[in-house]
Amino acid sequence: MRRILSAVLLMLPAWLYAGGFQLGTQGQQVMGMGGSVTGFALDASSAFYNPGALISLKGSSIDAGVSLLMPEIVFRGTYGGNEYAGSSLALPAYIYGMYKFRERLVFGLSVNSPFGFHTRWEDDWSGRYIVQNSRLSTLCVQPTASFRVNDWLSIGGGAVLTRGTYEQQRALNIRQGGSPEAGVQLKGSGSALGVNAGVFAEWSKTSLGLTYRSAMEVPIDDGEVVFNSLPAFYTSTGAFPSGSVFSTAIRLPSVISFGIGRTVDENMKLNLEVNVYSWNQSEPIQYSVEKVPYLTSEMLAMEGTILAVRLGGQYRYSAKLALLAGLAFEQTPVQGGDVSPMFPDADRFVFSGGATYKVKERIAVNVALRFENMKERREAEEFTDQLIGTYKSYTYVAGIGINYSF
Amino acid sequence: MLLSSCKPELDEPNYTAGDADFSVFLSVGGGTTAGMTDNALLPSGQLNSFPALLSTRFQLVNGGAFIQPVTSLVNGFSYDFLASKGTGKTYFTNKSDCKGLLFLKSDTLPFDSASFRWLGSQGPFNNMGVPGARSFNFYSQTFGKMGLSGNPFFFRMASDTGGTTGLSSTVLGDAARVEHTFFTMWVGMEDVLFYALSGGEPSSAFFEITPVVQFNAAVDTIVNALVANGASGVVASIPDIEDLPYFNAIPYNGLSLTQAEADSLNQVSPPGIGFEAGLNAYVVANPGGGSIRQLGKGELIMLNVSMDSLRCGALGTPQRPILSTQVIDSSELALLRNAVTSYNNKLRNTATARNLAFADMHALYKSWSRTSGYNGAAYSNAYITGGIFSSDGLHPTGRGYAIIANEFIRVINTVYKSNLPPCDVNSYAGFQFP
Repeated sequence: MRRILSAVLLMLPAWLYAGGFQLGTQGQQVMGMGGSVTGFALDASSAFYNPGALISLKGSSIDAGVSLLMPEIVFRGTYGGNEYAGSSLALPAYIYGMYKFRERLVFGLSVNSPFGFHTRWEDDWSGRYIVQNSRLSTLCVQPTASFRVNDWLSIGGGAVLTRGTYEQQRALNIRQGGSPEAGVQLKGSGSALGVNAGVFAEWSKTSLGLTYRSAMEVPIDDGEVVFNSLPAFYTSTGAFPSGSVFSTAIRLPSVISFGIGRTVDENMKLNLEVNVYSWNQSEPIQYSVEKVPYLTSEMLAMEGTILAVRLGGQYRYSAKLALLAGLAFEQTPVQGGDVSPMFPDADRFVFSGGATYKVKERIAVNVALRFENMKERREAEEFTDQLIGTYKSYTYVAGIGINYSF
Repeated sequence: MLLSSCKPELDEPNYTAGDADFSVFLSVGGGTTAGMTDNALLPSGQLNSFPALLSTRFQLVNGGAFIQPVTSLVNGFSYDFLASKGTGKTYFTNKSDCKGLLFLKSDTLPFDSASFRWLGSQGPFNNMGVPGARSFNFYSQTFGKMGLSGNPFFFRMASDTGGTTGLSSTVLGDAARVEHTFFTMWVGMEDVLFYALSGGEPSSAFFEITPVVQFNAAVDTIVNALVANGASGVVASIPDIEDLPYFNAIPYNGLSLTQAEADSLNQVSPPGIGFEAGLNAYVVANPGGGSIRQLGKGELIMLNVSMDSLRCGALGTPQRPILSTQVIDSSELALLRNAVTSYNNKLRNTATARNLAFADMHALYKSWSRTSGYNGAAYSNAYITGGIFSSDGLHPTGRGYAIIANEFIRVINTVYKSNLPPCDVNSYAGFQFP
């Protein structure tokens, strides 16, 4: 078992990244249930969703999975047609391992990408001077311990080491005759430390979960800056010096979740939960390029305390097959006036479904589908200086995972 | 099919013409109406003229075709009224000055006379913008003739160039042939521009400021003709000369000196002229030659001074003063400002009296001294880097024309209760670096 765990640690996959800011792709069973799991002990993803529930799972197990995220965004400016953004392949993945060390103590490891987005507009779209491509990814590694206090109560927690990366490409309103427009690419990473802790209480038919994940601010300094296609006039004057660095920060919210799990009958379980996301309301984050104040811009502004409400269910169809369904409503932390083409967030309804199939005694395969319908958002008045227009988004997610218990 | 139906869609808004009938649109004016850019008529500039951009918005409601006299000259068509000769467009090349610093040097392509063609038989034209046309030229019966009494820009598009009767068609006469229902009128810039371009030293009556009385009468004549068939429209005011980069790009005090350079210049300077380390006012010759003086704050140097010499050739120092014909001094500037103010009062009052919309281009051009953003791009009247003006420092780029068109649209929407969408400024041709 130790060997497996260390192998997992060594393989910390570089390809883990995220494409919706709260991705909700940290476990296929959970995704199938609309992200509703805090009041449940479902599988090893509890290491992330509720460390307190980890001890309630039988034996030891490993859970791994990957999701395909397909955001589809349409924008209509004040002057004309629809413009679309999608993303290149976004494949957030996760690996969880849990090892029952003692009857009342389990160790776990969570590696996943809980936050991220990837918004890719056409290079020549009307907002290209604000953003053409914008990608934020996180990778969280969380060693976890879960301890049984008594018959019905358990607790758990872990330190969350977060690696955040932000990259962006935008055009500059500068063109050399016969060349493409000038542009700038920014990319940088940073790390931050947080905590994830949970309490889980379980009786014969009812279970309760309460978790807290701390806010984090990932500072990005000395990010890489690359200018493209600058005419000689600008390269010679040093207005855009090569070797500039950019700095910004990725702000992640704290999350308090409270869930109630209920066993309806021997085949059916339901979970209802509320998540409270709190975004630090201090200074808005900017990103700035050293020596080029012209390029200083506001980062995505997310603020306030917002709610998500989720309802999910699991229905055991046969000894081998269980079906999952869920729905959720998630508020956006992006206030009116702050909607950005970097990631035009909006309140959303989430519909999901999934299945778990026991291939062998110890191996189960999980699949899940999710559809997010984001509310249409109209930004700013006509005839102003901002990117004015209406956004509407769908996100499609398909995921597959495997669960191995021993 | 399946994939495309998976994308979210947003509906096209319902556009309405409001109280206006845009079905036949006529635009009357000077070089900025014609779509001059890089100081020439070029297909690219003409197709991006602000009236052409407006017509694309009108076509979203009840607007019809918009025919322009588009030149086919490869180098573009321009005319130097001071030198009385045809030229091509202006363009930039990268040059290094004596200190090895790069700057953009302006040059002019030759006039391709073999390709110059009369287009008058292809009319009537919806764009009756005629570069060089002053207010009283719009009803002149010699304006379409070749030669000194005419205007080569109108000559190429006039329905009758006077070959038979000796008198040509008039701009207003040809304009009436389109039987317009809506119009823009942007007249008056040329009434002050030639005086300014001569540095306030007119070599003939052609370069004088049009007297206000004459301008006012001309405006009445033009407006009477434009509303005669019941059309509605927009009257635009004209900008101040000092809001054009051609006149404001070079600061009056751009002479940068070290203490040693200042000391040595002071030794050869006549009384009243002095230099110190840092930025100093340039030296200019007084009209008539002989005496020299330093420029005062607010006085304007034109872009036809040699940028090479200004940087490295001691131009603007006592040894080599700037010519008075390349400078608008404070008294000349006062004459220009007074004329522009009077013209604009007349234009505004006329619009009000005739229940026409009024587009305050004077205020729009003035606002360009500050940088403003459009969808993430910064625009100002800064020469070369501002994005609004083309290489000539007088005429807009395609994007400048889009900003102008948007101001017309804003005014039209307000007055005629239409809801036409603005133009996406950033989708038009901007300034192009060499």
